Amino acid sequence: MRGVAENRIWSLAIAGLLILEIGFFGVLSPDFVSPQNLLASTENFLPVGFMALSMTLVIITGGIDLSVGSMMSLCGVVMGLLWQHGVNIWLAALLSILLGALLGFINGQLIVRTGIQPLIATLATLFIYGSLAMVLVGQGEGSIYGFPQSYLSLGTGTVLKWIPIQLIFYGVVACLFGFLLKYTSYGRQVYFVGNNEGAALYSGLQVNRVKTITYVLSGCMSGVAAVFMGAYFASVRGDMGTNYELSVITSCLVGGVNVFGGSGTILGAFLGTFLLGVLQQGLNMLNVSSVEQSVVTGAMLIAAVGLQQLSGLFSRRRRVSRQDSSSAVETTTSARD
Amino acid sequence: MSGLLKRREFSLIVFILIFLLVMLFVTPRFLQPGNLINILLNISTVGILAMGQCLVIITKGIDLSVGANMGLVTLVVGTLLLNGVPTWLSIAIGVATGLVCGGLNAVLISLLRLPPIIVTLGTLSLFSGLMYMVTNGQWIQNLPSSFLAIGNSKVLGIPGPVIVLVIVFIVLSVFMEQTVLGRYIYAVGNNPNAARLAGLSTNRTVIVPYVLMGLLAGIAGVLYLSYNGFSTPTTGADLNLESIAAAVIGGTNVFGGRGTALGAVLGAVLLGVITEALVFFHLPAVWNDAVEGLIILIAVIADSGLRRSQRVAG
Repeated sequence: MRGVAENRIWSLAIAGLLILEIGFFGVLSPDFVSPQNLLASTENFLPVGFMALSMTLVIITGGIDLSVGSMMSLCGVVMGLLWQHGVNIWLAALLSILLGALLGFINGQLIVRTGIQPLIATLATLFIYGSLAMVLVGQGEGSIYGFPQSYLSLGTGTVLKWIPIQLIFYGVVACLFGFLLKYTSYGRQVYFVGNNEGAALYSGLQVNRVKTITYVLSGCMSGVAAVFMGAYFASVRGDMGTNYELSVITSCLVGGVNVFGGSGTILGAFLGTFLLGVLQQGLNMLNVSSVEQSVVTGAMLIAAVGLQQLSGLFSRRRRVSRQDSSSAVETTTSARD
Repeated sequence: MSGLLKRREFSLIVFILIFLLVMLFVTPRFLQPGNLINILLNISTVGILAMGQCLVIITKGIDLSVGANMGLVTLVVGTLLLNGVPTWLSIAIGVATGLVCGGLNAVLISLLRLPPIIVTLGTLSLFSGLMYMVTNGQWIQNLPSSFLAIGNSKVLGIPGPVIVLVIVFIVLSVFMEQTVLGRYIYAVGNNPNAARLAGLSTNRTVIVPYVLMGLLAGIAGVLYLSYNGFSTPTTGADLNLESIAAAVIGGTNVFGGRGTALGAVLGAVLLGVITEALVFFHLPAVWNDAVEGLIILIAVIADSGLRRSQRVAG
């Protein structure tokens, strides 16, 4: 496990980078750094932020959830359809978050019961959930819109003139996640499982339950992201979450969450989200197209992990030992074939 | 014999045959030679990429960027051709582009020891961004007929891309089964420690599959462009995951060490047959992904169930 000190240094470095970044764009365009503009621009990337919070837990346990974007699409579409069929929009939103929990539960059960890799399991459900979203919303237009104004204010409304409602929700949820991870026994179990699954198992921890809950939370947050995104764009689409997994995972890893599991913080995920989000907003301002931005996102992802790897001698040693134990299991099984 | 029955390749062939038999009763048209060759033609690019993916997964890796790599190749070749560069030179530069992209993955993964999933997720967005930059988001079309002739050629009634698929399959099978380097790849995937103790450089061996994957992406890209005659900035986007699906369905073990080129091709054939069946049943194409996802799950769960039962039996 990377030490607490190392985590702090990483977070500080990212916070410093964030300030530099805001300063850089501020020099190019003074309007960009006005508090009003900065606050308003968070509405663009906060859906990613919600999912990065739960993804942090998933990655700390040594897993990964590639299906977040598809879950988001499916939750959004179901919310839209329920509303179209006369369900109250707030009830529909709540039901779609519950649906997210169910989808996450399916992911978790697939992984812990069958022992297939999280990568492959969530790759398969990425296909399945995404396809269901497209099927449900139907061919042709493929979007549902016309939601009531009270719901739309969730996406673009503000409190005290400047502070976006979304940002307040995000702040509350981020604090809850931070508390969960740092101060509850469940949070410590998440780290334990990620650091040494075998030891966690032998000390009587219900490893499968710990892991499943991380995927359920991931599904919930995908639902939450869908609710906010639907409100922000005033519509839901069958492909509204496509490719979002990349931004979510990048936010976590840039924030210092160890890709091999075992360490990472909610503060890191928060900083990673904002570093990436502000960068995207700044590039938008400079008229860099979203596709060209993906080059930057990809490069940042690799740079973040490369730096983690180069800086953390410990994590490399850990990685080798983990490979040893997994290959030992593999050898015993293949030897008996 | 029992060994043969347990092989994934065998059960896949049986499954494909049963599926075709069922389709024979539903619509006899499905089994016409023209349609069967068409299915093979449709899967020729996926099949080629799936074999590369198989090699990568054998070393416990994964390549999420291969579709974007292939797409980039199509756009580079197309742009060169439209600017009057000779066909052979455009093809050579295209294949080289694929090799360079694969080489980038290889360097990041083997020298910097970064996790393959993260590296290729990063290069996926890198390559997709480059695809837009190459053509400014424009389509590539109106290619010279001398180039189109390659993909649309036929030898004894068999389309060119299918012949290339078969050649790549034979070469890779020989490479994986018969050459020292091929066996090294299995050794490193099966048990990195044993391989290291036996004097193999695990890091250097891991370079090979990613570079080969780049080469295959180059070949597939040229084939795709010359057969279809056009390319868009999103070409290949679905192949990233589909090639993994085909390899995994074909019995490539995601925990490394196991998988064959034959399995990967058969996995691609199964996906192709099912896609074609959906067309015959007039189901919208959006169902395709759901069916694909389900088949991946069934394949990997069957795999882990098999391993579990073997453990108990042993």
